[in-house]
Amino acid sequence: MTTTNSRLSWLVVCAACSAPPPQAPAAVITATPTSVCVGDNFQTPIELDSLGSSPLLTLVYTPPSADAAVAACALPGNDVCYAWSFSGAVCKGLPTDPVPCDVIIDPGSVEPDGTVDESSVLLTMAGDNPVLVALQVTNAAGGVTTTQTSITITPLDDAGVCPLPQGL
Amino acid sequence: MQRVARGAGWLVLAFAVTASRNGRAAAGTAFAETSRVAALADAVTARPGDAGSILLNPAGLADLKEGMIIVGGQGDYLSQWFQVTGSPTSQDRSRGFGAYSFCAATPLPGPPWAHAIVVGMAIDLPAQYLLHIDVPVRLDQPISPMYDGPPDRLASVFALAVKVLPRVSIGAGFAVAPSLTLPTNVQYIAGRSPNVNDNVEVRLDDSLNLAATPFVGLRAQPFDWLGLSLVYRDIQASRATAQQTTTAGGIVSAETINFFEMWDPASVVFGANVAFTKRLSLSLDVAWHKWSDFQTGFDQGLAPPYQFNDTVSVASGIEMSLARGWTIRGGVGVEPSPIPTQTGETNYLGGNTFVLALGAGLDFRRFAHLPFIIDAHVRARLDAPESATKNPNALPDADPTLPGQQIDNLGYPGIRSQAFMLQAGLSATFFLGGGGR
Repeated sequence: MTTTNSRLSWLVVCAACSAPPPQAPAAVITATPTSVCVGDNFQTPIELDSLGSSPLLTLVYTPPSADAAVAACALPGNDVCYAWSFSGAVCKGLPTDPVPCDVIIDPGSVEPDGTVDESSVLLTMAGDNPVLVALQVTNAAGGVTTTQTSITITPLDDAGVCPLPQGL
Repeated sequence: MQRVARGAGWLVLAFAVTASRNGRAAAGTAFAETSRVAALADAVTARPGDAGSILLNPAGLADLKEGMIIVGGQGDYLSQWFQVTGSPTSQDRSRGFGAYSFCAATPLPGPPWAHAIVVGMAIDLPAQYLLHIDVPVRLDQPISPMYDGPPDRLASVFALAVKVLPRVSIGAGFAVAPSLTLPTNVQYIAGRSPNVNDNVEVRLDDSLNLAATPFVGLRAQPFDWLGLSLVYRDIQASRATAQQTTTAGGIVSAETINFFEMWDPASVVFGANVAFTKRLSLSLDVAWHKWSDFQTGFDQGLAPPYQFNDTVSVASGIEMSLARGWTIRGGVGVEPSPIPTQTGETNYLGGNTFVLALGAGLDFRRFAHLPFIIDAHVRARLDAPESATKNPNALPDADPTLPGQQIDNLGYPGIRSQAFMLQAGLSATFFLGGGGR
């Protein structure tokens, strides 16, 4: 057992000898609202933004540049890139969209090739099931961080009314 | 000549044992059985054993009269999908994987009494990973306890068997399962460096410990035409534990992290083998599996009614010897799912499974007086569809700050799932003593 442990330690030391990985960015999703009622039927616009993200994960927050907030990931000079993904049947206004949709991404948030890589995204939901949102942030050094959040579903109350406050 | 052959067997065994220690192997053989065993649907505990059935019944090793090596390989394709009720799309979880196996066993060299003692070992080497553990980030992440983890690990077993009476043998062995401990200390030491990021000091003290999991077996041959067996295998599982302490000035945060992966539940197997003639035999294994020991990926127990159920599975195999060294085999098995209806927070995948296997072997000892056998098999596992409608009352409120109940479960409002696995494999058995039958 001792031999096994010391060999593992040796391997760990060797791994540490190689070049360190690039410093990772910070990935933060802010969703407004965070929940829709069951049967929302694409009525509630939901905004997702990544502006809490940062090109470098540091103890002192360093926001991305203003250019990065509006520019597409593929453009040169960006210090941070975003890639959004969603669970379920995602419709983006493309001929290949599934029928029916669980999520409809606003066409203004979708690139011509179908990717969703803006710093903020607008979407609506059918409201049949929760939607898992994943955001992958890549910085100029090649560091990658992924985070995820859920847009939850709120069942109607006993009177058949949505308990969520209006305008949430 | 026989002494030389036994010596060679010992050398091979010694090499294999050393190799497995270097590999830090775990234990168990999910879908990596030899072709003979797989073609009989694993119903081999009461049959005369060989180096390929060590884990299934170590007592079978006592039937060996000479050293033996088995090498094999399998290719598998798993077709599995998961769908949320009402959604037009499904999540395709299909994948291909494979494994190589190496088994060796030999009677002890020395005086005649020592020949009744047989030692053996077996290693399964996944084609893609040595060890792959997919730690879930959420409790509701869809997971297949049968197909997601068990095929993706290096496994090894070691066993010893002895014929205690002319018609009774016993065997015992152990499998090794790794567990990881990784205590971590993170300290923020203000002012240590001009760069605030360099003020963080991280101390790691990781270690990978190997735990031995025992298994024991008994095989009796009360009549030439009847073999009986009884086997116990302990649970095989791996854990990763970490005490993570973060200190920044007067702020101290201590967190405990626990991950758990069950490879195989504890099992008790009763087997019988009936030889109708010298050429035709039928075996039956009935196995009780203690799936109620199953823990979540975060090493937490599942509360009733979502605790896994213990199961009783049945498998049967038939083997027929034909002319000129040919043997054909077939097997069927039924494995009830241990997973209760997934109406709660978790989304474990797996339905009742029907196993169908076919195989054939060519014994070159009869065919060309060469001391080896080639076996091949195909095996299918058909999982029945699984479906469940979530009970909102059994789901946690994802955001207590909002009015009403917020549901974020990945399987809400319900799930459907099904799996099908197809395997093909080949193995070669080499007899180190010349293959005298």
